[in-house]
Amino acid sequence: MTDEAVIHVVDDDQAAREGLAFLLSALGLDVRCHAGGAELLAVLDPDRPGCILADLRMPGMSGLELLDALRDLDCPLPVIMITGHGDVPAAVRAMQQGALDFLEKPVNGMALVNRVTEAIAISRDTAAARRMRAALDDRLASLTAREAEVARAVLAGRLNKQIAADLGISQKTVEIHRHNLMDKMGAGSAAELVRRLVAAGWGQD
Amino acid sequence: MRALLAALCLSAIPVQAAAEELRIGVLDYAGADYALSHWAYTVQGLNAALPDHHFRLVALDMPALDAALAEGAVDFVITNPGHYAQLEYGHRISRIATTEDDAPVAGSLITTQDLDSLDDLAGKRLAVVSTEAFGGFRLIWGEMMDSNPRLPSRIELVETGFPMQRVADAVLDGQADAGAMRACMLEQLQADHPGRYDALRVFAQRDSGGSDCAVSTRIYPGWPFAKTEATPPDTAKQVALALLAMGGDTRWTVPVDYQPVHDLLRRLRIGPYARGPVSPGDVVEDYRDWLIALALALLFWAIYSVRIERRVRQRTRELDDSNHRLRLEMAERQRMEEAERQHRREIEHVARLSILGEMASSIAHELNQPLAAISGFAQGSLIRLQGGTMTAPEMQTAATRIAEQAERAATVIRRIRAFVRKREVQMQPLRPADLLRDSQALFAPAANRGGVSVTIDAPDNLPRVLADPIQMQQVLLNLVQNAIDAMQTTPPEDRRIDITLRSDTTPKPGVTLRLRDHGTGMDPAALARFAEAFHTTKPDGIGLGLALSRSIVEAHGGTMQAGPPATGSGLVVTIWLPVAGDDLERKGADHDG
Repeated sequence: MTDEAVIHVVDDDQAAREGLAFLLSALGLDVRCHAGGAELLAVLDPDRPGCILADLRMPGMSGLELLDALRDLDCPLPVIMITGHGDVPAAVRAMQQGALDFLEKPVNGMALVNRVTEAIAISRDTAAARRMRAALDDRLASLTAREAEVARAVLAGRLNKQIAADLGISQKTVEIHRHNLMDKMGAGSAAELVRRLVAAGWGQD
Repeated sequence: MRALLAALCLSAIPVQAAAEELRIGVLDYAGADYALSHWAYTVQGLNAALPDHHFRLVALDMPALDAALAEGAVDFVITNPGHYAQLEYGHRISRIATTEDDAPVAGSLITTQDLDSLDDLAGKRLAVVSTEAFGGFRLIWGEMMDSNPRLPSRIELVETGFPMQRVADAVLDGQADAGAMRACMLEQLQADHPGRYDALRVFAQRDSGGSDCAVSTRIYPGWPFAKTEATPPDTAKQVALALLAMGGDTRWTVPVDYQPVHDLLRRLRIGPYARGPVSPGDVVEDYRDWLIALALALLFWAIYSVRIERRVRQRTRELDDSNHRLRLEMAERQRMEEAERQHRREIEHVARLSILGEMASSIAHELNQPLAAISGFAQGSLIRLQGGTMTAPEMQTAATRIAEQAERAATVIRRIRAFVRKREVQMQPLRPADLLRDSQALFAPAANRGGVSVTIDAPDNLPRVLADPIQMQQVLLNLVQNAIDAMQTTPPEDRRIDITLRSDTTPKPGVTLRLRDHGTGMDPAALARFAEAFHTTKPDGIGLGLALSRSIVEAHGGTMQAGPPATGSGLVVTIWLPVAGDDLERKGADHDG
């Protein structure tokens, strides 16, 4: 799981995708070319940050169909659509289906670079958030049932004395559970524990 | 209506009721006074004989008597035999007694001239009191029909009106050659007015049956006394007995047979016999077998001819229908074929004229990929050069790719050119004004949409030019479309295109078309590249329309230029075409788009 962004260029026209790749690689970016949507999906690593540049009009899987497939996969990568002459209506539909933006062929270099840079930033944020969330989920999964109960009570703002009374255990035992809980969640303080639990989506139920 | 109710009451009330009025309708042909006085004795006798009833005479003319019977306003009727026969049929009255007069019911013909027989009346004027009169007209008429059915049509009738004395006067005064009167009328007149009517005599005489009067017809039954349908039978019976018992002037006898009267009416086709014989019984008796045979033959013939006729008509109708359908179908087919041809022509036309439009999207599509590739390699190279990261292999790759994609684009352009040349060019001598008119139909919709008015100044007397109409229309359409596009930001009142056609002798005999718009115009830099391929000033143009237009004009041996107008904003495009000549025909045939 490398943190380096990769840019996927999807275009059925070899010269066109190579031209794009040549431009983007000039920026020091890692570029991968794909002749179609299916080829992309076959090798896509959704956890790696980056973005997808896809031609709207392609034989086989069209740009719009590719967007649908990516959404079904819950792929976090932003998609920028490249459109030909007079395809603005289709491009607008693509935006409605979740594309980040669309650019008209022949693509203006600077505009493309700006959009790609932006897309990669978005992608990195998303990827970081996803990684954090995945780590939290791992920590939460390691909690015992008793520790989870204590965690919920802490989140509800109960004091150790009250938690002990609620669970019918001694206050000493609560303190032990709470210590283990903090360890497992990697939280140095009660405040951090609460923050992490909230980030994991707790406290909303 | 009241009278009718009364009559109904009468029919229901027993005879021993109090004196009730019974009305006797009497035909009044010579004035009410005469009728009333003539029958007065009869009424007195009846009133005397039937004290329980009160009889009253009502003098009525024929229509009134008819109406009275229809309403049930009279209980008894006294009228002439002819009228009785009609009423017998029309109102179901029936005679209970007949007069036994000294005067026979018959007609007499009178004249002062030398006439002997009925036939002598041919071509003569005959005075009659009325064509409705029984004794005064119908009896005579019947005799004429018997003797010669064509005779009546050759006699001119002179109607004098009542009293009947006028008939005699008319003959004496020379208004008629002869007259028809009731029997005994003449004798009575001669007795009443000594000397006045002596010149008149009765002719065509017949047996008078023992009467003193001269008659010209057979003798008919006398006037009947008739009861109506509503008259109570007992009352009718009492009345009949009283009548038979009477003496005096007017004697009544048992009702006689009125068949001769019916025969007469039938012969004359009047009254109940107005529409031919009602009961042709006697005729049938005489010719029974013949009639049956004839009827069968007629029936057979009728059925046969009706069938034939029907079949013929049916066939004819079917034929007519199918002919009509055929004609309709043919017309429809012709119309459709014509519409189809027209449609094809239009489609072809539009297809040719929209070549540029179609090419726009196909060119865009075809050129986009190589252009995208070129642009990518070029921009990538620039970034690398600026960043100093360009390697020799990368440079080689980029240059190679750029070159091959440029070639690819050139191939696309060549293909487009070939596409434009695909149509057979058809050069023909054209009148410039006609060319402009045909084009106008094409660019008018676009001009309307753009709110642009097009003024055309095209004299009809210009020399002809040798041109391919389709191609020249393409050129004009393209120029007008450009002008419309250039005026999108022009105030609506200034959106005008002025097209003028003028004959021109420089550089050689030709025709010049000037098209001026009031749009944004072109700056000198743009003008310098006017009609250059792939140079456009439109945000979404491709820069081929004018280039193609110019190549078309030049293929026609002409020139196309653009410049600023003498005054105001806008652009003037000038096209010059040479006058049609033999030397131009070869040129048009082998030009190369």
